[in-house]
Amino acid sequence: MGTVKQVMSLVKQELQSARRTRYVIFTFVLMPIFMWGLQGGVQMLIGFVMGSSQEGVTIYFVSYDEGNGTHNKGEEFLEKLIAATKSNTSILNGATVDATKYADISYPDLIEKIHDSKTAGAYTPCVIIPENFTLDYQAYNATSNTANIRPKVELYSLPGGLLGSTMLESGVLMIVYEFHIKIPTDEDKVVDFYPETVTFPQEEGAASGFGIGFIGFISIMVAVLAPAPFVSTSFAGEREKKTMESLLALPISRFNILFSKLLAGMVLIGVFALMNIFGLFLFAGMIDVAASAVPSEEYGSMLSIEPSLILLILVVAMMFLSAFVAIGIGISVASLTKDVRSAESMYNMVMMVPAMGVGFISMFGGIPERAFGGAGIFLYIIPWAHSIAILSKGLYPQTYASSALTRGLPGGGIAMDILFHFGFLIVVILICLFIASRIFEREGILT
Amino acid sequence: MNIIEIENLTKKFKDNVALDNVSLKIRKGEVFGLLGPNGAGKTTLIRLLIGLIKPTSGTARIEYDGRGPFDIKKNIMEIRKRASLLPQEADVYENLTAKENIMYYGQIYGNVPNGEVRRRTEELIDMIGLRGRENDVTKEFSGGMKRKVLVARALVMDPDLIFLDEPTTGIDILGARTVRNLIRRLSKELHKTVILTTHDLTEVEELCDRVGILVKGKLAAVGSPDELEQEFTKAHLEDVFIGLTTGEGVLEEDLIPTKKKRGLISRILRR
Repeated sequence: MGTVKQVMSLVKQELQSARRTRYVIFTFVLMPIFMWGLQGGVQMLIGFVMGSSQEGVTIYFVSYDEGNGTHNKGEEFLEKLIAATKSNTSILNGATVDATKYADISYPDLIEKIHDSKTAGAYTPCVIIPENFTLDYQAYNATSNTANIRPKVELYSLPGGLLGSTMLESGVLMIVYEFHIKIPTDEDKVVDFYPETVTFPQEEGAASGFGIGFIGFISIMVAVLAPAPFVSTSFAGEREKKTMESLLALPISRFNILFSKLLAGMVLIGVFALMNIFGLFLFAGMIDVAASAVPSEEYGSMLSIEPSLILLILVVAMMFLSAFVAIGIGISVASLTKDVRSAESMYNMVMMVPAMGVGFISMFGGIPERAFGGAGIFLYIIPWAHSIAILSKGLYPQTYASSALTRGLPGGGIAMDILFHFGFLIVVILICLFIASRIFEREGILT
Repeated sequence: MNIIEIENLTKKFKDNVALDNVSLKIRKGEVFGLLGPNGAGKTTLIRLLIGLIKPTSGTARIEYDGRGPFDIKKNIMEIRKRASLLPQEADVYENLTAKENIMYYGQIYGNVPNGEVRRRTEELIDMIGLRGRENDVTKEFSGGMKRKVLVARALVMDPDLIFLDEPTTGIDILGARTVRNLIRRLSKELHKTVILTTHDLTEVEELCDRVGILVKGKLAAVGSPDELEQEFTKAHLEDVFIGLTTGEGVLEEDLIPTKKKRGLISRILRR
């Protein structure tokens, strides 16, 4: 009972001290809201840009449809695709359609090139109209209630880039919708659409675009930075002010002192993590505004984020653990330094460099493996790479058609991946705390 | 009755011998001064006795009224329950008020009801003359006021044994005077045992019942200031100190120093 009282007194002191400093309000309360608001702003901006023009993007078009002698629906699709690139109301506005470059390549060869990591970049994004498209269309149109063969359109794209695969899918899908079969009783039936985001082994599906990557980057920056003032003042600050020595001379074990400080830190990052809920709602609201401003409903619905309970839990848990990792490492760093300034410099060096590294890689459309090929897997040693992965997969699961981490494993998939990422973060936290407790026990902590 | 018995205590930091085979007994209720130049081992000895560092060899036992003896290696938590430390150049928690600073330490002792801690805190606020400022955040306090808060904090649990590591260093004359008066009161009225390190020989002569002089980690001499002066046939404790720390004899003209000379030496030592 006495120990509980001691620990609670220490926690109270830490929180009282923190409450009276400005940084706590700023970093733990306002920063998450500001961060999500900023992300919403970026998404809005990108949404508007992408909704208005795709200048510079080339979409390859290959049709194997020979028509039926009088009509060619494949050519009709091409005309609509070209028209879409010139229409102000289409997501594809500004893009270029190249229907000649790969016109002579056979279907199996084309598919092989698209699925080869060395050539995929040159052959995508690619819209393919398979043979018999017109015949299937007419057959299905004539016997709409019984026929099993639907005409289909294929789209192959790579993840990431400014024109993310989901954006492109949405644009092409709008054209596919124009092939509605005009039967009054069955208006919903459309041409089948087979979009595929091409990913390669050990190149897990990346975030679908710059905007989504930005979320990973800034979230990790904030989660890593937020605990810095607390950690440096609570540990190095105590050494600098020589209050640590008085504290250690009290009838309380060093482990309990460390535990108390950690508990106080957990309360603060708990507040920080919970504030992300408000931030996420703000973000979702801003995305809705962006979605309502763009010309297509499909595009809008694709952008929108539903702050479901699971997503909220995922984001809160991810932000909490990311900040907790920073505290875990920060305690060791701060316990090795003798003053707040040194602690902050060391903290920045030890944590900002790797966090910025994975953050930047994420921001430009890929997660570590994609950016660095097979060796990129080593970037997963950096704990915040896992935070980014959790966030990306949680916010935009549709961009992760398959998962490199647990692919092929029984029950493998995004849920398993997310569990793996959380598990990794928890293990890192435990290791960091063990190291911190050893450092805290050193006699050198007094000098 | 002895409150502390130190036997052959040695502390090494790698190859550096900070404390070398020190044996010493400190009596209950006395103000014991630890003297020595910088790096002599004064702070190391205090840190060993309160368990902040572990001895390389030797031991020390502390016995309170009817409790103990407690070995510094085995029962440090029992020792700390009745002891307090005011470290050298320590500061307060600047974001807390004076009252919170004092109460905070009281509450960490854990086994005392909050009401008792509150009562002791109020008493100490009066005792150190901070009434009216007790609810102010200590960030706004002067150095002397902060030191008063620190002394009050060290006393909040009514400890039997108080370690004060250079308690008046870095504060002004008035602040130092207040702290000295407090120490005198602790000893004479409240019968606390105070172990005090200082470079100020005036402070030692004014406050300490006995003195231990540490030189390069060894205990060179122990006794009351008068006893030491007699033993080393010097006119003043300062001469004894200089003789022991330099390892040389004292010049004839220094045996009865003028006030001016003494002040100069004290000032040099304080640096």
